[in-house]
Amino acid sequence: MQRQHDMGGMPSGPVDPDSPPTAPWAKLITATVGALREKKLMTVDEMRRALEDLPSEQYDRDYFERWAEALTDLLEEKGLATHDEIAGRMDEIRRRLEGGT
Amino acid sequence: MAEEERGHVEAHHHDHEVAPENRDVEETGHYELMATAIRELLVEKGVVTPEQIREQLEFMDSRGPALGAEIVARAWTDEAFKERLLEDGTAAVDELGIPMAGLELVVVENTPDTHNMIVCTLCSCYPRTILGLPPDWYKSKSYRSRAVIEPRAVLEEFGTSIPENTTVRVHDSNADMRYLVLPMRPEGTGGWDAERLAGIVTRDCMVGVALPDASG
Repeated sequence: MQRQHDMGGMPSGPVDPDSPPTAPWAKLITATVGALREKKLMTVDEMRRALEDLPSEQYDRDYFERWAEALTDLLEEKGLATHDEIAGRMDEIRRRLEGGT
Repeated sequence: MAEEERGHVEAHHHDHEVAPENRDVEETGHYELMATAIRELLVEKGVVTPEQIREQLEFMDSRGPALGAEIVARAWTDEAFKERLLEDGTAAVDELGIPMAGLELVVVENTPDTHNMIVCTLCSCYPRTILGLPPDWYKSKSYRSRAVIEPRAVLEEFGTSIPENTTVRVHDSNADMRYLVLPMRPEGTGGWDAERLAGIVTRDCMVGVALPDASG
């Protein structure tokens, strides 16, 4: 069976040669993955597998959004942080930003 | 999977595609929060330190097409280096202090007979330690899907025409092996030094979707 990431040769639309700069949060995700790899807590192939295993609605997102989703899955799998913890912290940060505290 | 088999596979995963232009601003905010939340949690738990994250960010910012241009200009002006670069890319760029971080680098040379371009159909593997983070189009479904089946049409979308009698060879990268295109040195650059030559070697030239332009 051909899986979602194996897209070579599939029909698709034109390429947009424009390339906006990478957003700071996307760099932060990349740096976090890099630091975890450096510490041997995660390998490039584990990250690749987590990306390939994403549900299609997540896999089809923007590249770094896909990375963020795959990273959260791997963190949970490795017992480093759960989805609930991450969601909870996101709410907390949002409140912090809104409350200005 | 062989190209001829691909046509029979149902493209069901395209059904859920979220077009980037249809996403609202809120969603980007969502991922900004997620990235910050992950960093805070991992730092608090002592999994990584802020310094380790910062080092990664600094290394990322220190990588960019200028490094690749330096490699190409050196190869254009130093035949022995060029031979080493084509023989063992990883070792040759290491001579210049450019690490491949455990990955293999394969440098492919453009000639009047062969034009090379690179892609990663399976994900978006890219020679990041040399060129920095990949541009959006390199990671796009369009480029990943089509580069291997209609490279000349893709090249035209970048405004690049390759003569009919030149073979276009597409190299599909993987997690452990990265490619870099060594473009042909343009006519009329005979007296140029390495620094001036490096100035015309763009990122797109080293991915193989453009050609160096010495006319400017």
